[in-house]
Amino acid sequence: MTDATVNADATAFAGTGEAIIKVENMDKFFGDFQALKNINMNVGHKEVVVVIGPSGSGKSTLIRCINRLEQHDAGRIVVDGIELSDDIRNIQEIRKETGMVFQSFNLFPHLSIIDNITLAPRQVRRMPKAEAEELAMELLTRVKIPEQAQKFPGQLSGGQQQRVAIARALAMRPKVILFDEPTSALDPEMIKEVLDTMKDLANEGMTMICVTHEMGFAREVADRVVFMADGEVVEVGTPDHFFDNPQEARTRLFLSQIL
Amino acid sequence: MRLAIYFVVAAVALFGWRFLRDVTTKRDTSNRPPPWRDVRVLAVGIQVVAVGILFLLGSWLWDNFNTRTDDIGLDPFDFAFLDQPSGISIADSDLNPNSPISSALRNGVKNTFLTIVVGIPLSVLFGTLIGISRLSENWLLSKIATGYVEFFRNIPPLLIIVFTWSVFLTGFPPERESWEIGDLFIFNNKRFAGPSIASQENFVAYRWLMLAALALAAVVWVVRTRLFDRTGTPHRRVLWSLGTFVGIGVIGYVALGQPFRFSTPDIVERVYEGGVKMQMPYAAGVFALTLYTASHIAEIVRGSILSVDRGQVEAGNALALSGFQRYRFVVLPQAFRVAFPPLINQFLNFTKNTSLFVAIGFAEITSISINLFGQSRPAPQILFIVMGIYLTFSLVLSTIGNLINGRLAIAGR
Amino acid sequence: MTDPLITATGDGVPLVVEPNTPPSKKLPPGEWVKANLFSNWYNSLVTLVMAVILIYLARFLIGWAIGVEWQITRTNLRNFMVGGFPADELWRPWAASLLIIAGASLGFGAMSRAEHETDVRNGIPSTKPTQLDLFRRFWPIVLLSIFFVSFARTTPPFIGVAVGIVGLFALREVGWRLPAVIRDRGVFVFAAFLLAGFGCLAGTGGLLAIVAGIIVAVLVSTELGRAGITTRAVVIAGPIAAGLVTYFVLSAIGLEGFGWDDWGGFHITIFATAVGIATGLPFGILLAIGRRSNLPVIKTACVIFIEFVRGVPLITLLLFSSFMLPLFFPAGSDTRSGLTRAMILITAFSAAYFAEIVRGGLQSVPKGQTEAAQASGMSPGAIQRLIVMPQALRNVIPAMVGQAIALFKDTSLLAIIGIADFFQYGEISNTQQDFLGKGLQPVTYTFIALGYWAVAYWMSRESRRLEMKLRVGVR
Repeated sequence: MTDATVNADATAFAGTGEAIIKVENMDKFFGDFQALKNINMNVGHKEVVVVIGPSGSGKSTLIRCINRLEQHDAGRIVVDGIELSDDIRNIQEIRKETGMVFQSFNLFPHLSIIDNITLAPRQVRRMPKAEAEELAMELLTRVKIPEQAQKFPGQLSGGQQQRVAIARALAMRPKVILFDEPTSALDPEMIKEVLDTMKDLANEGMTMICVTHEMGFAREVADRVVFMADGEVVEVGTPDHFFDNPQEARTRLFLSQIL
Repeated sequence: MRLAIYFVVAAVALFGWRFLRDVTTKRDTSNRPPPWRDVRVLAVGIQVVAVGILFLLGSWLWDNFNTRTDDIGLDPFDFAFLDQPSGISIADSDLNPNSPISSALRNGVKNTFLTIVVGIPLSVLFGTLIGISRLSENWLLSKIATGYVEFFRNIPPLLIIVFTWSVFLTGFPPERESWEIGDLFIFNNKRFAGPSIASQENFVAYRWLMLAALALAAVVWVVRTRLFDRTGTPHRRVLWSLGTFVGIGVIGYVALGQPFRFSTPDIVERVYEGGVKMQMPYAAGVFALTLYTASHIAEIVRGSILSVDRGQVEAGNALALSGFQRYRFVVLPQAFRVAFPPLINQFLNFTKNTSLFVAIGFAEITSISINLFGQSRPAPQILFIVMGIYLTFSLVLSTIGNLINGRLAIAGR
Repeated sequence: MTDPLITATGDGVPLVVEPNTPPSKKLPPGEWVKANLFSNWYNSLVTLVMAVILIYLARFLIGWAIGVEWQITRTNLRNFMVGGFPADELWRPWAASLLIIAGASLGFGAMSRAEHETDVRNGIPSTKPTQLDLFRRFWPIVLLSIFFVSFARTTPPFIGVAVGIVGLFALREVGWRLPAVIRDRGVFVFAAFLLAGFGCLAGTGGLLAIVAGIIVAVLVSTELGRAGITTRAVVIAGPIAAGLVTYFVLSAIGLEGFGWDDWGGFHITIFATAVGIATGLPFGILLAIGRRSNLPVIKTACVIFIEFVRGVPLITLLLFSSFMLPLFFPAGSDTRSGLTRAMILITAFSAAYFAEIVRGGLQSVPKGQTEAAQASGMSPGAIQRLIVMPQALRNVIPAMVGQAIALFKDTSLLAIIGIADFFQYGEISNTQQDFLGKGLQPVTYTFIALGYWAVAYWMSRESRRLEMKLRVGVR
């Protein structure tokens, strides 16, 4: 390893029972570039982990590896007891158990809001239409936009779209939700509504991994904060420890730049 | 038998590949899924199956082809027939039925090429004119241009070609009663002829001189540009360069004792003398295809100019550029980048559409090949050659286009 | 940058929504003329020159049209329309056209009603289109039918065209008023009529059976989907049963008809276009998916096929179909039908062009769409079918209409390999004894040009309309 820092270990987790996500010695390459270096991380049930770090540090790649949007090159990833291997069945199983919310919403523009939400339950979980729609309405109520059900994504504001995306992820009744910078593409006045939705989720006991730049959210909601730089986990800690008493020079530098 | 070989190859490929991968990756292989669920194996497997199907289909067709050609006593790999007499005569060439097939084909390529080099510039010129006319603030002009585009775009080019040809055929007089405009032009329903340059003494020297003049004009261009860059004085490089070129041309013409003269066409005893002549089908075909292609190019020109964001013109205004400057430096460079790829596409279409001249009997490559089929020449080889020629034309044009397009591309777009 | 392929015109230039012109029509006539025709000296000059040219041209054309001998088109009207189709079987094309018109206008009425209601629900102002609106959209076709029939020498064609035109307007009204239950299934109403139309022509019972099967398959699976039930067995068994039933019913009542080698004229031009699109599009979609595959073998095969077909002129492909295609089938195979052979190559041709259009559409769908679908555990097939393709195809509908127009024009090349299509009769009619050597080609070709023009122009207007609509539509 060229870097002086020893890769921090994020295996100790808060929450209850067995770790739901286990990442062991994971490497990821893009061609010759090593995007992730020997990542070790566990996430417990009902735990909220916030991943922060400068851009290009590999945060997004990390969570995209967990549901195989990117393929890891070495090490192991186990989600809810299922190992993420080349086995197409395992991949599908893991994707069923993990929801994902994207920076750019990625709602399906050709489908109405309700169809966006019911699509995966009906196609993947083979849920009857009526039941799926009932579920969708319930979720839309939960994210506080039930009146938009018949509209199309293009007719909604960014904040509303992202809340629909959260509802869409929830509709598969996942065990974990991965958030990939969910507020970065939003106008400032819409960030709050999305963060509030996420806080509600966390309070209800959803297991979440959030890649975000929202330090306030991290401090308030996170059980653990993971700081990444140059493809490595640099420091791990509770929000209080992390923001008030960071140990690593790189963490302090990063915090001084953004706070 | 073939099937068996194929399966062995497939199996070896599949498992060899897996083995290679397991050896080369650092990954723990103890936890392998069964192959029918392994995404990597599946990826290879699908390809193997696809190759297999293509291979089986291909070999079935190929077997049939070989058997059938054997039955009729044809060797599809025998290209010796190219040296046999073609049995067809081609107008306005020194080829007769006894000339070899290869020269007939070569003549076809030459004729196709002649239609392209004349037709494409004409289409661009005319199309641009129509396209700009559609944007004119003159209501009548823009409506006429619109009508033109809507008319010609929605008719098959083949129909335009045959129609033009039939109009030329019935509209122009027979050869004996040719229309002559002054001594300069001759029109009849077989050929058109016009004036040209005929070389005299010292013509070779004059040609070299003019080449040197061109180089000098380029130098003047660069010098004037540099001067403009250094001092800011208007460069007027077009004027300067053109002046240099024409000046040398005139001086040279006098100094070398009239190295060329204008030659006017004449028909003596049904033989054309002097000038340049072309066959009526050539003129009709190029004319018709130009009309058709121009209607498409007009839309490209118009669309590309309109595609330049209004804010660009406003920015130009805000910088106090004049109307001409705004167009020359802001709008047109951007419009041209938009127009270029579809223009290349139109050039390709023009090239392919020249094959329609077969319907009016102009001896380009496709009609030569059809004539050869009529002489029971082997179709597979001839078609292979003809398709190869068109592919070459397409490839050369699109390669040039891509090269230019790559250089035009704006960074960050 | 917009992908150059996604345009209605096929010219590769994005359609430009022209800035709203100032309300020039509201100017008093005098000022309007001054502003638009004589605003300065060169505009005045241009106007005058253009006016002179236009008047001269119009006078010439009118004079020519009046003076020329139209007898040739009158004598050959049936040839132009249906070629050598047996006279006592002419009810077939008539019935087919009328049924197709009926289905189209019913479906059209139902669709515009559905659009209207969606707009109303979404709070977009919308009114019921009037008959005049309908005429504005269909005038090229209506006028063309009237133009064609004006050359007829007997009464039945007049009645047929009148029924067709009246049906077009009346049945759209009916379609608008259909109860919602039927209206929601408008596609199937249209499909049923289309099927009945083809039934009357019945080129081949087998082909028809396949079409019936596909329609039933779509119908059954949509209905099951609506009801919230999906049973694979029914979806598969349904179409097979429908195909068999259609086939046997047709054989039993003797509607087998005869093969398309007896067809000709305008009929075959339309038919070749329809078949070229219907067969070319599915293959084109497959080729486009193949070309974007990350499996190198499949990708290479698709690229080679597409680039080869697009690199050579259609004529050479048609020559291939007539001189070489039979050599690729075992001795004794029936490869006599020139049209069948040509259609195989036309399918390949249009597939290659559609493939490039669809590829443009696929490129326009952001990668995040696939990722979002993957993240929710959907299978690759479902992602293509439900997420990527609907968006990709929607984005390139105008370009596909453009390709359909191009194909319609390109079918004229069938004449070169000796198939008696609409275009071919321009020459054939001039070789008849009555007209030989009279140099009447300009007359026949004018007649044909108007036929091609009206259809192609109508399609291009519709595609522009669609493009505008998709642009301002819900996205």
